Amino acid sequence: MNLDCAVPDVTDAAITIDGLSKTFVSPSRTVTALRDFSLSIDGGQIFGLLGPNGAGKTTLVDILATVLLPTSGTACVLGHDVVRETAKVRERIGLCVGGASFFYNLTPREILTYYGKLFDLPSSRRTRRIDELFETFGIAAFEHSRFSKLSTGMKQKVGIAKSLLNDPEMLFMDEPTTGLDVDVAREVRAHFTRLVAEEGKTIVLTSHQLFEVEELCATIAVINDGRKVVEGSIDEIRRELGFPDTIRLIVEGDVDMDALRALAAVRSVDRDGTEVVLRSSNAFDTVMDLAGLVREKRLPVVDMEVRKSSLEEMFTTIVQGDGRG
Amino acid sequence: MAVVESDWAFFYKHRLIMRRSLAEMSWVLVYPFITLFSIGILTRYIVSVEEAHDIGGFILVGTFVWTFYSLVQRAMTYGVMFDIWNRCIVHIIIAPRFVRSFLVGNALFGVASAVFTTVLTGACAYVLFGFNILEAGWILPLALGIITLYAVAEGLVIVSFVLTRGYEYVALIWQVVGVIMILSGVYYPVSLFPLWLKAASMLLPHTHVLVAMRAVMFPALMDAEVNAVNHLGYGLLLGVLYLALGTRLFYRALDESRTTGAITDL
Repeated sequence: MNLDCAVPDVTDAAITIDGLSKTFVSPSRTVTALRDFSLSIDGGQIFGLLGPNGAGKTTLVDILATVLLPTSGTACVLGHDVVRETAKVRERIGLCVGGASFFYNLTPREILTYYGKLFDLPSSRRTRRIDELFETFGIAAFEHSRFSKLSTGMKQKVGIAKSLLNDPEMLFMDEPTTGLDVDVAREVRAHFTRLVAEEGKTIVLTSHQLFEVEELCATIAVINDGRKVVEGSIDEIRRELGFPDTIRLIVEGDVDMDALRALAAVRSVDRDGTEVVLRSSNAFDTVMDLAGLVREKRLPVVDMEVRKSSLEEMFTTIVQGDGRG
Repeated sequence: MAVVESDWAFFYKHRLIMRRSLAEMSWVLVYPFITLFSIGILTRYIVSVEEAHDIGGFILVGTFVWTFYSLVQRAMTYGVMFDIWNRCIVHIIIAPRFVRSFLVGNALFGVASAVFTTVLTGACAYVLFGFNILEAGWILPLALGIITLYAVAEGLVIVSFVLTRGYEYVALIWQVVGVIMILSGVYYPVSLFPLWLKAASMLLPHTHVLVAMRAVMFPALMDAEVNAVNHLGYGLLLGVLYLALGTRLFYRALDESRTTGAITDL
């Protein structure tokens, strides 16, 4: 155990990253993929890593999964330093990348047997584990088909099964649902949720599917240009960065716009025909006030819809550098 | 060192891929026979013109050693090439005992496939060309062991180049065996070389192995002062040295590849 890395409990920090930087130097150019990046990720959850293309997400995952070495800084996974205790980290993690690719002329069972051997799984345990995973992911019917003959979804399921072979405590999923159809992606997401809820695993997920992150992740971090822009739960980020809730009213007749602007927590009010849109920093307080206004001033409201900022709206605003809603 | 499951992983992969692919099986069951038949028939021709029976054997022993070496080197290099060609190298890199699994599994498969081919082609050579590789006697396993050490080392060096410099260095897999064939005197004595080239060829374990085997099998064709045991000793020393250097280079190449990110481009 590396003394620099805290001994983790499953509910404590499963990953600690301190001042991590990564620069790729080649004769033609130098690219800095991560800049002084620090982060702490608790165990037993799905953590979302978001960022535009080239932001540094995959580089970060590759360093944490011991594929790449950092230029400076430290990173500990499950209490082990990713540079100095590589083998210990590798024994306890699984890695799945989008667009799974394996030996085209081997079958899923042969592929998983090969990786099971590489992870030193004894024969009987390996066979049992492969059977379990094939059952869980619905691969059993295709276990003797060549990998090249499988559908994209089935290939990706083989990739996910491979990452779970050694029953890892920590899973790195780098865009695991890329290219999957809606049903398969939904099925895969359900498996991720189950892995955390029933088996207590920790998943670090990078994805461009923001609804997927919103659905799955307890906490997220947004990376842009190698830097961490923001981290926390989606609600925390919404609150801290002041992303407004939207209250949409359908009205018939005149409305006292000043009275609406005076409602609790309202930041702005706009009207377009019969539609009035209020942006509020606290929708609950605004709606409670609004109810009183409707009663007292007979405000002609015929319909109302309350909506929090979507992750997509927040993400776009954050990476465009404004950082505020 | 106790054998663990991961030691067999690469052996298992090689066996499956070879069993599944005629192209891969050709390396063991077709190309060595093409080499044997073409060279064997050439030796028949030489013998018919010169009536120098030993020259046929002199050339054929080179063919056996070269084929053995190229099969072991192939197993070492293809051990990672299959993963590169199928774009899944990252999954072997993160195996907890990657380097040991890679070394042991690929070397085991290389030796197994090379011994298998040597037995088959040896039987053919005996029946068709009257050449008996077993006449090398006790030095045969030692000679092939030395060749294995070098082939493993060479495989590690080539893979190191691919890992650090990029995919275009894959060409070394096939080019280097050609250079070794020329330099080590597979089909002729290195005594024909100018001094500087002879000195270079003496840095190869193959050269010493071939000199030793030929001294034992065809003493009439060799200088009287050639000492087979000494040459085997030099060959062994060089083989161990190259393996140590190759392994060190491989470790460094892995770190460099993980530092520059070259590993993720493969």
